[in-house]
Amino acid sequence: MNTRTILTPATTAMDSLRHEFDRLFDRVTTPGLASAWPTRLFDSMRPHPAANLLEDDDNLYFEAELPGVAPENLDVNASDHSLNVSGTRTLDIPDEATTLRRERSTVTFERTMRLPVAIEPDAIDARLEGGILTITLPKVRPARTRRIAVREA
Amino acid sequence: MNNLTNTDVNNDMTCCGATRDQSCGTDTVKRTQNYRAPVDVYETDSTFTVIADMPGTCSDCISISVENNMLTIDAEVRPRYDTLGTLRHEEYGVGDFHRSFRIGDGINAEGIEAAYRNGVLEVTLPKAEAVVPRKIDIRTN
Repeated sequence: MNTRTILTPATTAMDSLRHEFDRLFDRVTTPGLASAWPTRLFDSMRPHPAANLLEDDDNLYFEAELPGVAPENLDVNASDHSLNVSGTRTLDIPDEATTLRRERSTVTFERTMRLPVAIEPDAIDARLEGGILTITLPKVRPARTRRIAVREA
Repeated sequence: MNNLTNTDVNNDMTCCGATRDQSCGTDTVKRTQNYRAPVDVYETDSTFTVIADMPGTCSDCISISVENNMLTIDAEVRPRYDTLGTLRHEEYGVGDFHRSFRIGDGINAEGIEAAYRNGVLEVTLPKAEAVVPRKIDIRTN
């Protein structure tokens, strides 16, 4: 690129630009370099997305990373012991564009998780913000943890 | 949609409201794990576009810089489980995202733009005038 002459055809300039990109990407994805940055995100939009589950005294919290998923393309269903999340993620790349690298995918996904305690399906709350789905699942009353004060005899 | 244009080569990472103790500083608490965001790259006649999955960050937490022909993208992800009780089942970790690319001198660094929506970052890199293909009309006498 640095020694491009004035008469270099535009197509050649474009090609070398493309090669620069390719070489760079190859470097970044070589095993030695890649190990510096874990590649877990290649898993995030698989057909069965990874999920984390958190818990406090009153609620369970289900979380999944769903970058690029619009709320209208997402379905959440719950019963007292089970949660089901499904949807699709589509890519928005113009038809006339030439793809140089493709690490993301169009995917139809579904994830079902059996819940460790009974929840109240009518009271759950689901938020999708910044590509992160967070579902708050209130525990049924008997399942909630209550701190009991111990009296001195 | 937030647009951020960033051509400052010495751009400091912007903290999204977090105190330095919580994040951002290299001289304070060591950051959590860095993750490599998956990207798509495509090209049109006048631009290159990099699209990266970076869930859980925000437009103010993303730093994009160009220096020595390297395009560097850093996205800070604040720990978000502090207020959500205890982790009962963990299938992925939460941490910052990083990705860098070598770019040729055919990029107009001044014109780089970026937008963040639904956890996806889109960076548009306009080609320099010299490499944009131009259609030359041939006159017929």
